Amino acid sequence: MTNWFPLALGMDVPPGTAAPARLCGKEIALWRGADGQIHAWEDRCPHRGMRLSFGFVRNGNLACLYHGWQFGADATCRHIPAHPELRVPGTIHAHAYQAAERAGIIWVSLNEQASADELPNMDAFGARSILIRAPLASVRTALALPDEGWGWQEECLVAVHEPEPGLTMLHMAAATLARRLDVADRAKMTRDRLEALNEKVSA
Amino acid sequence: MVREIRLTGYFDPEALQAFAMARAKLLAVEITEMSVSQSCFEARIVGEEALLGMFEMSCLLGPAGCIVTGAEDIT
Repeated sequence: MTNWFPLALGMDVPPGTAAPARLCGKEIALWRGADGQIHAWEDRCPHRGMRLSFGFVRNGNLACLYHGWQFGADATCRHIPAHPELRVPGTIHAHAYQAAERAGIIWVSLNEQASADELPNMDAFGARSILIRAPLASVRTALALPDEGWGWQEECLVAVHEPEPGLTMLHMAAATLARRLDVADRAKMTRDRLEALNEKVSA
Repeated sequence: MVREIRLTGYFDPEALQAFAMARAKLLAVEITEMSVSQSCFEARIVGEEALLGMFEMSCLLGPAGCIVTGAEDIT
């Protein structure tokens, strides 16, 4: 499970919206078309470098906020508003990463060869994504998670990723819809406990 | 369509050349001739008119450290 990283809860990127995420300092735009398919791209328009996560979804394309260049689900540029007659060359495209949605969580791989077999295959409902101001390794140790991948603890999927060094995003998904609020509370308590622990260690 | 452009200013030749080549690749523009010095950039470019315009505009903005003070079409 070295290839896939949990970046957000599926419910945090509703159809027709885009959202930013970070993975090891890399900026990623998550977006979802009306068909429900999730996409993860480098958060940078190939035109002028604007964050694509600031853009908006129109007719199944992600449109850059700056000059309105539109990119289709396959990441190629489909329309340039300033040149409506132009047949856009296929060389103009956003940089797409592999993305998948499992157990209520959006997983992204920067490795094009990553196999979806490595992803969790149980049913679960996204409950909470929360930032913990503590290093990834210490969070994994405190939560008794393996060095890589996720854990299944007390009817709950627990996964973490490092948005940037020194910070950890904790994602939790409940086994049942009914337990989602309990799991969300557990995520907050876990954050408070681990940040207090990290402060004590740093002091 | 074919155009020949000349930009003058203060350039980091290596950075500007790499930038121009990357932009040309992105925009499906072919650079058939190019010369870059610390004060002058010239290129003969082939492609669709709109894309050539985009390429020229990209080079006018340029990479960090390159300042364009003059531009002309020398076709």
